[in-house]
Amino acid sequence: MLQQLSQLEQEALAALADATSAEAVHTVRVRFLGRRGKLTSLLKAMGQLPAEQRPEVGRLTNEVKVRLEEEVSRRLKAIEEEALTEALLTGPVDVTLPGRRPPLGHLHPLTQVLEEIIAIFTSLNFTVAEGPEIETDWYCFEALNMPKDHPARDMQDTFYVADEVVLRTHTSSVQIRVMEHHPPPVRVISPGKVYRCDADITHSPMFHQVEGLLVDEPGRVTFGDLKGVLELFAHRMFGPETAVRFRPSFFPYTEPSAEVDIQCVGCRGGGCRLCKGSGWLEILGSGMVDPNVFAAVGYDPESVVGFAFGMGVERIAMLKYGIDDIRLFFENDARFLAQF
Amino acid sequence: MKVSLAWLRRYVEVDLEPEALAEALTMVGLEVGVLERVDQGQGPPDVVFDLDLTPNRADCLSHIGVAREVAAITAVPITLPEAALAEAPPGVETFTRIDIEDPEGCPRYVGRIIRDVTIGPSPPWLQEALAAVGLRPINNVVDATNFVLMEWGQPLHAFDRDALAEGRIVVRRARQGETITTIDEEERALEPTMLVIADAERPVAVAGVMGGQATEVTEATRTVLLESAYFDPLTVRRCAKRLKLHTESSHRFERGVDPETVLTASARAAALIAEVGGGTVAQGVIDVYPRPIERPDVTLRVSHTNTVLGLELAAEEIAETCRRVGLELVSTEDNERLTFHVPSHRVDLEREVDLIEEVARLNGYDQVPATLPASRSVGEAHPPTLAWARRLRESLAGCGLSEAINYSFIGTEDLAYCRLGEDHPLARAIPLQNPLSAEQAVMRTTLLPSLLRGCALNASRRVESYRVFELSQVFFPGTGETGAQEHGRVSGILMGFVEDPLWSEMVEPAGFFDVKGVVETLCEALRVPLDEWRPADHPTFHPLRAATPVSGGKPLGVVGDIHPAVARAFDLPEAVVAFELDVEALRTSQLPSVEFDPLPRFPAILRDLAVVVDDAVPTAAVERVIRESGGPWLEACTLFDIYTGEPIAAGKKSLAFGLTYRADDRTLTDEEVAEVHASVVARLEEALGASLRA
Repeated sequence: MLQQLSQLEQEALAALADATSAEAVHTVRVRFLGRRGKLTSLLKAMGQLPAEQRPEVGRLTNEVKVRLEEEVSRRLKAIEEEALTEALLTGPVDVTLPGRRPPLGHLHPLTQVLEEIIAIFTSLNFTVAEGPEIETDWYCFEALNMPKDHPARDMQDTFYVADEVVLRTHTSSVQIRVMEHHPPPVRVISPGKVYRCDADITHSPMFHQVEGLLVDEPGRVTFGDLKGVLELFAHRMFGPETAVRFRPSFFPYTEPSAEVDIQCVGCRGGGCRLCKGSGWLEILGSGMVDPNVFAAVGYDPESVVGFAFGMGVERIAMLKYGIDDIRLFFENDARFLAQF
Repeated sequence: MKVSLAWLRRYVEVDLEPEALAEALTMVGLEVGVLERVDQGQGPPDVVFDLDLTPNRADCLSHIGVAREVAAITAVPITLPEAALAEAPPGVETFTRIDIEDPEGCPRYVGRIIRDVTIGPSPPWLQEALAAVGLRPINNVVDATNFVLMEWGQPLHAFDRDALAEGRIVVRRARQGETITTIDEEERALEPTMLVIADAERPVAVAGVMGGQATEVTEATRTVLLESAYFDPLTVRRCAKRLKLHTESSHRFERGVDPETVLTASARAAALIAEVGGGTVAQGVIDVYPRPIERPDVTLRVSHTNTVLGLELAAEEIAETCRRVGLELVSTEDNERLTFHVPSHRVDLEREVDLIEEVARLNGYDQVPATLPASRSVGEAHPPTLAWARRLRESLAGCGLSEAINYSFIGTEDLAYCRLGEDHPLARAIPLQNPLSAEQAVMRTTLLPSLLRGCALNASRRVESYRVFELSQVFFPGTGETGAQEHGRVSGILMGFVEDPLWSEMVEPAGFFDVKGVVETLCEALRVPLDEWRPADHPTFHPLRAATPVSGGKPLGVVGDIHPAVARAFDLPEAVVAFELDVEALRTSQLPSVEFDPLPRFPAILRDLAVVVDDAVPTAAVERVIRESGGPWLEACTLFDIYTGEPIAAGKKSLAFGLTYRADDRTLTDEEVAEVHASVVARLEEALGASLRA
């Protein structure tokens, strides 16, 4: 009896293995497991066994039945899978054809760099202030320690709208407005468009600046802090390995004044065309706020100390992306914009 | 300012290699732009430094000035040139007289006479020295004055004494109507604000700017009157600006020369002229100095210096640093207040902060440790406009528009191209007084001309599709201190395909509903509810295919097809669509915050509705009636088809809407919905004469 059972199982498994369609599997199932199937017949014949053998044989027969049922479903699943695979392979698709892309616009590179600069300074607790682009002579020059007929005015060729009204040559004008309205401490950056009448491949009559100002009590801000903040900025903007140097310069609204240079991004300091062989690139101007500026906005020059800095966004973007002509920013050629 | 290393070595020993010297000068604030090796005729090769000097360092506009800095950096002594002056009678007074009528414009005027000179070329050493620093040799007398100019930084002028009426000098303001022909052969009209050097009759030089042709030194000159003066910086600057003349001389006077060097340089130049011109220096000097220039002493506080710089320098260190640049310690108070006498050549040192800068500069900025300021939160975070602008930009980029940035100025012809007549408010643009070109003459009142020009440029470069926006200020005449007002605008333009052409299907060129869709999406992203679209009246747009979106009763701007005549004026090859919105209107129409609606819990019942109305009835009117009459259960109403033609009667159209009914507390029955739906139909018939489509 047990031998018969085992033989039956082998026979059924072989038949299932040969079945290549769902119908064939069903036929095999009926043949062995159906109401008149071979296993059922065998089970019926169990009555002829001695009573003490019956439970053991019954259990084994049941096990064979479960195993065969499992094999049936496995086979059915495998056949289904094969059929599906075959069906899927009948309609070949060229997956290398271009996809259907929703149109995507690009933000202007100057906006992207501006946002990056703003993010660096806001992470240092600077707030952002904006102001008018058409300014009075007072906010643009006089309050910034640039009296009329001062040679320093030659440093910034100015567009005039009226005798006392100009297109701002820098966003320092916004800082004057901020200080006029807020008592110290002040910690602010002012991004925006500025204008100078000058045009060639490195000068644009309109460009963007970010100027910064930090004013606090004496002892809470130093020239060393100016260096620390701007070094941190340069490292975040151009990489932590970038060397930074500060050298004396002159701006009417700061003293001491410093130009900030970074190690040339083109040659890493070895000297190339970009840095005119010096190994350094000027990226921003800075300094300790001149006491005359504090006096102009009504602060007591004896009870505050501050630093200020300013940078051209185009300059930073040109260095960052390797753009050699400033005019590209304002032509708005689609093929230029799409690169950023 | 060009500086020759060989020349510098006349006054100071330089041990550094040229590159190292350039670096050292740069690091004390005398930026070396270019370093150039020059082969000289006979001597060893020279090195010429081109210094980019800042306007405060007037003292470095000379070789002696730069030598002083080199001496300060390298701590070596400086040797000043001696004037080998061999004077001979008769005295200078027998040859000339000098009167200053305007001591404010001319606080000091020094004159010397060199007689019996022979004008000719100067010796090779002098010619080479001048050529090295970029000056053209002229003749021995002029070359000698130029040499001293480059040596001491003191501008000098040599007159042909015999060409001066009565041989004398009067320093005065020009008289109305006076003119002068300057040595560059230009005749110049003088104004009463201008300071001139005159003889007994007429102006012979524009003070501190340029000499006159009539009295310049020529081959015939025998007696030279040598001028060395201190002119008021402001007077010279205004005059030079007015005459649009910028000379070596005006450059120095504007920044301030050393009033003491006036005398030294005069002696030095007189001796040099006698040496190279073979003449004799007349006995004595005329030194008219009606307004002695005082240099007050400056006090520096040690503690304040350290507080500003973030250093801990001792009083002695500070005093020593200052001594290196010629500051003479006059008194010390408690090792805290150091008072210095300022050398006359350092016209830039007047205040304590000027000395603090000297201390920082000479110690080296690299010696100041980099620190971070004490953390302190100040004021509000950011203007809310900043985050809002970012959202606006990103939304439009998400619609496939790239961001453009254009100049704020446009040409007046751009306004005409946009069909903005002179009376139109957008044509009232603020002009610049000194524009770079006619194309950049006025401040723009609309961003559209710039965007249209962008389309034309891209089309000319065979860019097929162009979809950009710009977020910028526009400018109008206004009241207030600047006489201008500024407003934010966001504008966009679509030319060519709506999306990039794909291999699988045809892509349509952008049309009215594409640009309208962009604005609708933008408004959704900014949470600006749109209540209606009114017909727009804007000369730059198509008379019918343009509309004004309205939010909360407030018009936001204009959207539509650019007028074909405008497109033609800007030389556009095809039709373009555009929008221009008022940023402030958009921003103030934003819904304050999101109020959450629970998700529906009960199923909806959908009903279609096709009605026939007159062609002239706007879809929005039909939709409004449906919404008003649909009751609280009407959740959505979406147009899905428009049809004209058979069997619809001429002059009519069929509009098909899908209506969604839903209650939020139970499942509606078909009967309930049928009742409401019927009342919608009835209301449409009543209000718009609509009929159900058969």
